[in-house]
Amino acid sequence: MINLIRIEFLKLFRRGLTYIGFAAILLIVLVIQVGMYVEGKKLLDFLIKSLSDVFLLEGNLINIYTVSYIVLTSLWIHIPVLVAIVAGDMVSGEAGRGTFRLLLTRPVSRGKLLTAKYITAQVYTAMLVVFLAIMSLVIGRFFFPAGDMIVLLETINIFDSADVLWRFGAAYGYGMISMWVVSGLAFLFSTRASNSLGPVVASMSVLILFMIISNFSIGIFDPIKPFLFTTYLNGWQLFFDEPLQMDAIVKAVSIMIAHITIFYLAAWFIFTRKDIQS
Amino acid sequence: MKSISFFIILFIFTQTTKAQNLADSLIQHIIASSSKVQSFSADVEIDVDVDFIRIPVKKGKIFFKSPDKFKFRATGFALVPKKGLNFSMQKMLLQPHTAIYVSSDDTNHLIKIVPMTADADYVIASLWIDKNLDRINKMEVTSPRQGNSLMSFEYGNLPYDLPVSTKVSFDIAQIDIPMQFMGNMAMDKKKKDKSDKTSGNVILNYSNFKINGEIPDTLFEEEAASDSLIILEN
Repeated sequence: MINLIRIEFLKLFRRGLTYIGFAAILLIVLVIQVGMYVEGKKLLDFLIKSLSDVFLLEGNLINIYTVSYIVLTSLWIHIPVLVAIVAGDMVSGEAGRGTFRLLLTRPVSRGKLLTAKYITAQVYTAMLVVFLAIMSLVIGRFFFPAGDMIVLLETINIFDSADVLWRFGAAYGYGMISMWVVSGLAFLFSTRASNSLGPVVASMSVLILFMIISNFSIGIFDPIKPFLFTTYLNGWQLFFDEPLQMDAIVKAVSIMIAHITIFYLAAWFIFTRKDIQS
Repeated sequence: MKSISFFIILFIFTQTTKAQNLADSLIQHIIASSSKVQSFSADVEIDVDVDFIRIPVKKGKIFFKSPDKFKFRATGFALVPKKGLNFSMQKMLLQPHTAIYVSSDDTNHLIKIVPMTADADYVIASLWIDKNLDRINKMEVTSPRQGNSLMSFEYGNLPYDLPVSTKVSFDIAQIDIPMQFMGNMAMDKKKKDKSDKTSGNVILNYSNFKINGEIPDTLFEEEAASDSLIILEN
């Protein structure tokens, strides 16, 4: 199995498509950081100016942590696309290139092959998230100092700089799980398709549809919202709320893990019974 | 009949004058007491309690030098109440004003202060002055921009009338945070109170006072534009 995963990784990193995600993250992070470096203070002052009637605001809130949080929120909508491009190509790409029949002549079960591809796709997803974390928190240090972090949610939350890193760690961990759901969905579609574009478009369509339902304030959708994974994609923000809503976090993670499991089992079911013709 | 009326008017006049003299003498006493403190520095803890702000208790250091030099220094970000910290009462009392004696209870005299300058940053202030110790226990300031601020002072065993704890209560406008800024798409949105204003409290606890020690002027001048030091302006 480890050999299979290693081979899948070699194949993955020989394709230019794989690097698009890293390049896009690098570019977007840099653009946001430069933008915040130039205009961030003005923007934040505008948002909290009504506090200055009563308080003197002392200290610098435009720092590495606040900017990393903004980077995270800005990118979280786009990372699913980058994840789906690669995960959606994992199985369908082989079918499209006509290499499946040759591949399956090797003494490897379909289940093992699928699992190796699945693990590769999910590790790639994890690598993207870790890369985002490094870009935000490490590269950002060249632009910004450390300091207390401000988060504007329903309330204005200000965290001590010493109380921030574990929150980012947990948020990225949560984010990784949520991206595994998206990756699992694209992978599932990939087992059905014989070209790469189909699974990417299909998974994006499902994602957009579910996101609209999750964020639409219409009563008719309320009963299904708790079961949609898109309802929980932004749940990493819970780690930046006070007090911490552990019940909501556990519920969100449980539902996303259920989705990951269901998507994998469905992919396995489809692939092991698939009539491979190319 | 005329003589009775005359004595009544005379009585009222003398009582009013007496009360007015008492108000002025109390104010003068407070100014004289506060002028004994030519400078001080102290550690301060700031505990902000506003329902839409979550901020941990912040520690900092304050520096004061007579007559009006004042600085606050903290690590990280701090919300410092404009009223209550900067001994604005001292500055307020030194500005032209009229003091009116209103009443007294078991422990305090109540005096109203009305500014006599057009550019004063308050409309009226109420001072509750300790009957025995002649120091301000409580103070309420009404200002056009900030509404009402109520400050309560607690004193320790210091040889000077410097509070070791100050509680500032105030009205503050609710902030309407743009929902999409910082990607705010919380899963379980909490019901938001739509009222325009809410009340808040800030408690300032002081310790490690160093009174009338040498504080160089450069401390108040340096880093005027810095993020880590601020000059309190009112």
